Amino acid sequence: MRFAPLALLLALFATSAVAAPDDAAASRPDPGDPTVPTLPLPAPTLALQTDPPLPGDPSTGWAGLGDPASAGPTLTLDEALALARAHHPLLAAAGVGVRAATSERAAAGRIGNPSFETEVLPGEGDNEVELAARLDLTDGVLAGLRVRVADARRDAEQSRAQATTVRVEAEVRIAYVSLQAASLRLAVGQRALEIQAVARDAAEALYASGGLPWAEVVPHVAAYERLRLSVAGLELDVAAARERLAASLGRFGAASEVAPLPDLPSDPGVPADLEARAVAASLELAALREEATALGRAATLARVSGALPEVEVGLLAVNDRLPLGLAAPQEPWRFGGSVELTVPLFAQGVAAGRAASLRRDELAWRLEAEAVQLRADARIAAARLHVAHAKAAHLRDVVLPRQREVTEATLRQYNAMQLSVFQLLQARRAEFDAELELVDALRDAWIARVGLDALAAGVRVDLPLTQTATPSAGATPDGGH
Amino acid sequence: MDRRAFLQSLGGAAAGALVLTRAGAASASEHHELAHTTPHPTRGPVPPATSGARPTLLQPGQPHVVTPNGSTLPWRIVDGVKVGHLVAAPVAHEFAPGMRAEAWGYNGSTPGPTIEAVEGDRLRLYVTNRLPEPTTVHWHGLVLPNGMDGVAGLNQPPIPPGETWVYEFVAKHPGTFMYHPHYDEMTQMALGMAGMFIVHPRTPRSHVDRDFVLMTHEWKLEVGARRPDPNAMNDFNVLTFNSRAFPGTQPLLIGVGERVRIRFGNLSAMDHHPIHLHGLWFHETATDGGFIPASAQRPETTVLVPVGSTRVIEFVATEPGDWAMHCHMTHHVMTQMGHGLPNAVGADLSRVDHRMSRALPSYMTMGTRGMGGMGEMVMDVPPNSLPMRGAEGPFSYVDMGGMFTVLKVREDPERADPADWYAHPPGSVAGPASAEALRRDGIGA
Ligand SMILES: [Cu+2]
Repeated sequence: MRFAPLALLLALFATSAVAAPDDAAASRPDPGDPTVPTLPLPAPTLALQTDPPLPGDPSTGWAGLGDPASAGPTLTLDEALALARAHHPLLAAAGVGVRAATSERAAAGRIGNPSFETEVLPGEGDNEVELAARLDLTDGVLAGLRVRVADARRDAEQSRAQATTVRVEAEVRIAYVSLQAASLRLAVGQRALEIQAVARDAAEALYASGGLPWAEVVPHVAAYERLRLSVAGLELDVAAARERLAASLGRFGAASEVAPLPDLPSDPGVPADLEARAVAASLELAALREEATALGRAATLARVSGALPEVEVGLLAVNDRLPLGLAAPQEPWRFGGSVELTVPLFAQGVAAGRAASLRRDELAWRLEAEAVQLRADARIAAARLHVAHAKAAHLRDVVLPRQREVTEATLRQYNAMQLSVFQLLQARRAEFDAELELVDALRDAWIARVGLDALAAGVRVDLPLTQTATPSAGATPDGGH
Repeated sequence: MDRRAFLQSLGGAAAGALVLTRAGAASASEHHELAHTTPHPTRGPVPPATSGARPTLLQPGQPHVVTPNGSTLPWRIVDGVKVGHLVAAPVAHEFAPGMRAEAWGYNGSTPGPTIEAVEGDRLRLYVTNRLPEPTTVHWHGLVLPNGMDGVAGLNQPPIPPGETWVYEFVAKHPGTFMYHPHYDEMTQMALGMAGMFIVHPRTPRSHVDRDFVLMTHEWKLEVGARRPDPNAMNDFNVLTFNSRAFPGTQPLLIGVGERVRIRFGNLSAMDHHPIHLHGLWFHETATDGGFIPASAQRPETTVLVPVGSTRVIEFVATEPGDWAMHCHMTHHVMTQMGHGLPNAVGADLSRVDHRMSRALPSYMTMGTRGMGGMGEMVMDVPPNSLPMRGAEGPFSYVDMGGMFTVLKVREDPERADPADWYAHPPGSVAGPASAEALRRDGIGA
């Protein structure tokens, strides 16, 4: 039992030295590594090829909505969401963050380590040995307070992780709708291009038969050539939207086709209590609130730890004649104890506590500002969905049918030889312009829907700006020719 | 048969092919063969002709005038004065079956009833204005007291809407005259307000068996619209005899050997009309200025009727048949012809057709082989319109409209059915040349 006290102290030390397995840094591929295989770059525009394909032509590149190189199996929205949930690195990061906060809480609950001291004074044959162990008792008292701080921080981390989930899913939905809309816009643009090609062909045929001077033909040729540029822009939109969808899934994109853009439900379905719901559900507000709680608890911790005298108790073992080697001591060990008290005369933790509670107050103001903004955003989101929905419904139910009537009425006037084939084609082009507007409006309505759903789930999402570009560069000369 | 099916039935051929609505897809040559054997009168949209019965006589050698598609103003005799009443008002007018218009006229019609008087008559004409704006009546060509001449502002104030005013004068000079408003005449005449005014001489200058009145006019009626456009200046698209466009014009039935007078008046806005008669020649015997001495009358087959003028012709038809009578300006026999269209004649639009069949399935190329078949094509056209329409004739489609009518010359007009087409004697209708005839006459085919 020569070393019994030593063994005891070592045993105490060992309890705190159990290492947790470090699985957080599980090996993942590094996408930033330039040696990771890259996808082929998107195909160059078809619309600007020497002999651009037109829809319906045999061997056209535009048989489907996009270019054939990227045409793959159709990915449903639910499949896309499932992929994102399984693969998105930000979701993985959020999960890891929560686990880290949980670990931090466990760390906060641990009391401070005891300290050991050994003094050896070598003598002739014998040595004088003193062993001391000290334990800070105050730290044990404060551990409970530290746990409460870490609790609040872990709650905040959880709220943020939940918000990340909502945001990632919203972004998948937005990217999905955007690709649906871009594909549809391209399809409409291609049909418009075909109309313009008909106008060009008709003009050239009339020139060939001697019926039209070149001056009245070349505007149709020019209009066709200009429209190709617009369609090339629509092609780019599809390629970009496809990439964005792949990125929103959090993985390298094997780009897919998407389901057709669905029609709208009859009712926009804006909950009457959206504002209250958004405030109640807000994960951003919750995270701020929990951060504030953590700061409040940190203030208490600082004050308590400042006001509490630091109490350190110690054990002492002395032996004046301990021979070298493992021989038995010449004298018995003597044991004693120690108590050390730090009197908080000067540093009482007041300043630190005040700093923490001021930080908490700062956060409370920020929380209020956030809440004001959130309420406004909720009302804007409701208005945006209402208007986008009404606009799409108006285009679908009123404008487009009227525009189709224009084509039909123009066709009858063409049949009656009152209007030229060019005016007829112009009417058809106007119909396509209205179709493009409808696609834009449908997309805006669906995206507004995503924004509103995200708010109700507790997160504000930045929605892409409304896009209204239409390729109406028809520039067909009016009049009979 | 819709257009698409029609196209397919012709093996993808475009415009210009014939559709014979009566007999389906029979060819034109088959119809020629039929014509050699059996004439086949049809009673399509062309109305029966004027009556073949001898018209009632006003005096020996002078029958009452007949206004095809029209009427004559009735008189009431009050103390030796012929009293008539014209009511100026909007009228629902039909140019031809399938094309109606909101026009203005007199006594419910355009043109208004023909006024028929005799030299020296004292006439009292009441005019009620039921138009939405003031009006007057000018008695075009008559020489009468200045205050009766009807020029608003110059000879009288305009007649306000809702009021009835009275004109009274003696028809001093015989002749073929007209009447029309002289207040906002551009609008009121464009909408149809006009009529003929005949003053017979006390003693007929020449004796006739029949005496017809035809007023030429021009209108702008947008295809699918219902209100004639008074603002038109050049692009008139409905040309009429007595405000009717063929096949709405009523044919004139006359007898072989009869002496016939036709009085033309022209109150068109902008155009003169060279009226051409087939199958006979005539003398121009009078204008609204008076009678032309026999020594100055030239034989003609076409009489030019200038704007604001009347022309009177007389003739004796010797050849029985259905003879065309029409304005010889080719655009005046095209109803609602569109102008300013690109010239597609001779164009090969097959490539366009291919793409159009996808882009606009109901589209059909037209006009590449000429426009002769346009009128009879079964097309979806705007309602209330007759673009380039003619009518079914006894042999095939008559591809004229507008200022076109038929002179039905019959051996026995009193017994002839006014609805019948002429029955040609066998072998008297043109037809395909036989191989034998070609060979005989050395014609290379
Ligand atoms: Cu004419």
